[in-house]
Amino acid sequence: MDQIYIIEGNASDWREAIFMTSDELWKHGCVTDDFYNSCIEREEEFPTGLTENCPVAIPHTTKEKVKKQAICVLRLPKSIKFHRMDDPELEVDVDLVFNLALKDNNQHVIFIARIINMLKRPETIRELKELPVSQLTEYLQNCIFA
Amino acid sequence: MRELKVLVACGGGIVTSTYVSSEIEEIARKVNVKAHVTKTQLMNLPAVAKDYDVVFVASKYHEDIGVPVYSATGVVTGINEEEERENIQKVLIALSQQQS
Repeated sequence: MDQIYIIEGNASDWREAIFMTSDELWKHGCVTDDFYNSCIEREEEFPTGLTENCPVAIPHTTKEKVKKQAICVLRLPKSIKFHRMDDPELEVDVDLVFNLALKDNNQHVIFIARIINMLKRPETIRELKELPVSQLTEYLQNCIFA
Repeated sequence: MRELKVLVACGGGIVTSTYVSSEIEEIARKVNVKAHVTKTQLMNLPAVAKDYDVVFVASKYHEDIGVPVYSATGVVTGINEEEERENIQKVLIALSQQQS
C-alpha cells in the first residue's frame, strides 16, 4: 500500500525542506540513504516549484532511490522560495512541499495525474493549507488513492 | 493517416513528462490523431529527437534540435493551460495531415 506522510514545520530554505521530507521518508524505510542528495542534485538542475497560483514544489528523483512508493507532504507555516519548473530563473513562494518517492510502474502514472490535477484546484490548495494536520492524511488519501 | 511519433521531455523524465505524456495521449485520442508518445529527459533531446515528429517540453528549452519543439509547461502548472492545450491539439492535427 502506498503511504502518505504529513509533517508540519518551518524550513529556512528549499534544501532544508527537502531534507525534512527525505528524512521522514527514510525513517519509514521508503527511500535509500542517498535519496536526499539525489533530490537536491536534481532540484538544483531541474527545479520543481510550481507557480504563485499553486504554491507547491514537487521534488523527486529516480526510481532507483525508492524502496517503497510513498509521498511526504511538508506544510510550511512560513513560506520559502523554490525555483520554478517553467522558468528556473524565477522563484515562487512555496507553502507545501510534496516529496514524491515513486517507482516507475503503471500506477505511478495515475498517482502523478491525480496529484497534479489536485494541485491545480484552488479549493484543494486552500484545504491543504487550512485543514488540521490530523485530517490531512485522510484528505490526501481520498484525493490521490481513492 | 500516419501515426505521429511524439517525444515529451522534462528535467528528469519522471514526474512531469509522465503527466504530460498521458495528457497528450488523451488530447490525441480526442482529435482522432494516432500518436505514439515517448518520454525522456531534456539532456537526451539532442541525441534522440531526430527520430520523432515533434517534441513537447515541460520546462524552458531553446536548443535547435532539428525537430519542432513546443511548450507543454502550462498543462502542468495550469498557467495558460487552455491556450496550450489548444496549441498542442493544432500541432498534432497539422502534423498528422502532413506527408511523411
